[in-house]
Amino acid sequence: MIPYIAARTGGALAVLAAITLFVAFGIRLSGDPAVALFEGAGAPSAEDIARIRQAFGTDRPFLAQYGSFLAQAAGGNLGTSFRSGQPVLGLIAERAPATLALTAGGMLVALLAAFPLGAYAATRRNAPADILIRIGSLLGLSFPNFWLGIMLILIVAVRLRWLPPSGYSGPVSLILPCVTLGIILASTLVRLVRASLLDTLGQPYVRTARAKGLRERAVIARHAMRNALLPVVTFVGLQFGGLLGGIVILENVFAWPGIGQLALEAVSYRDYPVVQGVVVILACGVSVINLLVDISYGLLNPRIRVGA
Amino acid sequence: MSIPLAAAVRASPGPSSWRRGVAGGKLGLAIGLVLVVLAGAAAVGAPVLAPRSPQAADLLARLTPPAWLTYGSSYPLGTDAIGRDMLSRIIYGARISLQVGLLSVLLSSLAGTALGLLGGYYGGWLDETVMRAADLQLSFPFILFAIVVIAVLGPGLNRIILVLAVTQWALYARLVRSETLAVREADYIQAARAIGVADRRIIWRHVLPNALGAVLVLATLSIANNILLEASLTFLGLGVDPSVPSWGGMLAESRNYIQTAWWDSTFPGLAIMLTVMGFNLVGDWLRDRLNPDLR
Repeated sequence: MIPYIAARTGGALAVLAAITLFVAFGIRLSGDPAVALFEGAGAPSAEDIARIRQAFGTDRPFLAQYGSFLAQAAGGNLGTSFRSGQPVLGLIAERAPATLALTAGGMLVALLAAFPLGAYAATRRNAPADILIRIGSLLGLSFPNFWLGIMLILIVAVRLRWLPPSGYSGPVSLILPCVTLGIILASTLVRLVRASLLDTLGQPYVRTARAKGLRERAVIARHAMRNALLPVVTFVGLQFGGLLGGIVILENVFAWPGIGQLALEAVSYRDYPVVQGVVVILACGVSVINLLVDISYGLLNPRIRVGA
Repeated sequence: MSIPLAAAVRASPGPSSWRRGVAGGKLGLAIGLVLVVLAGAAAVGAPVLAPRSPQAADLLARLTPPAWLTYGSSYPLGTDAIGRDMLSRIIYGARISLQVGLLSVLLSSLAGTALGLLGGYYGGWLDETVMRAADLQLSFPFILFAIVVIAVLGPGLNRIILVLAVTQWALYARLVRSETLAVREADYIQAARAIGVADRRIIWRHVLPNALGAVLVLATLSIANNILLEASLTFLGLGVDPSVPSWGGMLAESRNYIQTAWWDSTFPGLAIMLTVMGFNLVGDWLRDRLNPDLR
């Protein structure tokens, strides 16, 4: 088990090194921040530029800059925003709770919808309910998630006036964004739950359980569902990278004050330290979650470890 | 955007369960083809089909409701905030969506297939390098990659196509490599080698055709996915130039008028959904038909 964990951790570290290198290199390519600072404020002298470069540390070789960025980042310092002068880590910490709440809420809605629907569809294979659920899932996969958000705002908030359309004003504001995220996630998940459960329902131990005279409900809950869970849980865990895209765009649709919005604002203001900080933090988060999923999967299923 | 393609492919319940279902059967294919052909016709025939110029603004007619709802409106799907005809803009918008979908998939599938073939056939350091690069590429969340590239290069049609192509070559490389490995040691390839057929000819005549079915399925589903991703990025202001009529851009503009003009935020989204669904249905059918081992 230890070699497996070591290999996975090494892989995750390599990924993070490559991502930070790419981000740092890309951001440096985008122009000289010393020049950008003077944008719209007249032509700076060559000495001014040199002085600011020295202050920013951008006069040093790239690898030296990258090294000190990593060293600082390891100590929790991600630099300061060009625009507001505040520490990047502080800006991110300020926005993190909103993003985490949205993610957790969306996941919860998805799980609450996908498990019962997937199980229902699997146990009534090719019945009208099954077909209906599958069509629903296909629709969900073709829906642009931001458009689903807009339509929900239009119907629930603008027409019916049941919920606030956007922004953050108390816990009710969470409902629409979480439901939107949940529906999108659930449409993939429901297919997976159904397929996984159909797979386990055909296994000999399920036949044995039935032969023992267990009620169908107990067979599904105690024998089939448990075993069907493993691939589903792994899938959910590995979804976070893709989920991020949905979160960024839904934060935008619902004017949700999260990390995604912070990143988009930073891009539009060319506030590179913030862009860099957000990308590094989010990439770290995704890598750590993926690593944990890999490790827990290895713990649960010894066959996986062999390929490490 | 929240559904990575590989996941959508993986999450499919498999051919047997879909074959009798509506979504994977002949009916699904027919609906899918009709939707794809409609989108294609709109893109190609836009100047002929569009009743008005997509850029012609009529400030007196701003935010006019659709003709079938309001007496006196001559705009079939209403107008936007500066009085441009929604129907004409949606028809022209198909051009951007299809252009991005097709070109990005063409680029990524060509690059990925070539690398996957070479890596899988020759093995060794080449294979090792390609696969490690693919691992890295696939573990970089798409949205973060797009944010960095657009922050550096600025938005634009070409950049979006580039970002999509660069992030997806790895899917094809992995797929084609595994198909290549599966046939590399097959008897007929050994036989071809034994009679002195050149590697290049073996790859072209024997290995590549085996992988093409799987590539075609992935490519079709990717077109759908990339149309969604482009619309999302454009909606966020990270995509196509706002002066060009695109579905994502129209949705972004419509947001300020959601209280008053529901048609502005409804129809472009419907266009995206129907087009994406068309490619998804065709892709699902192809997958069932060719039954490649897409994991």
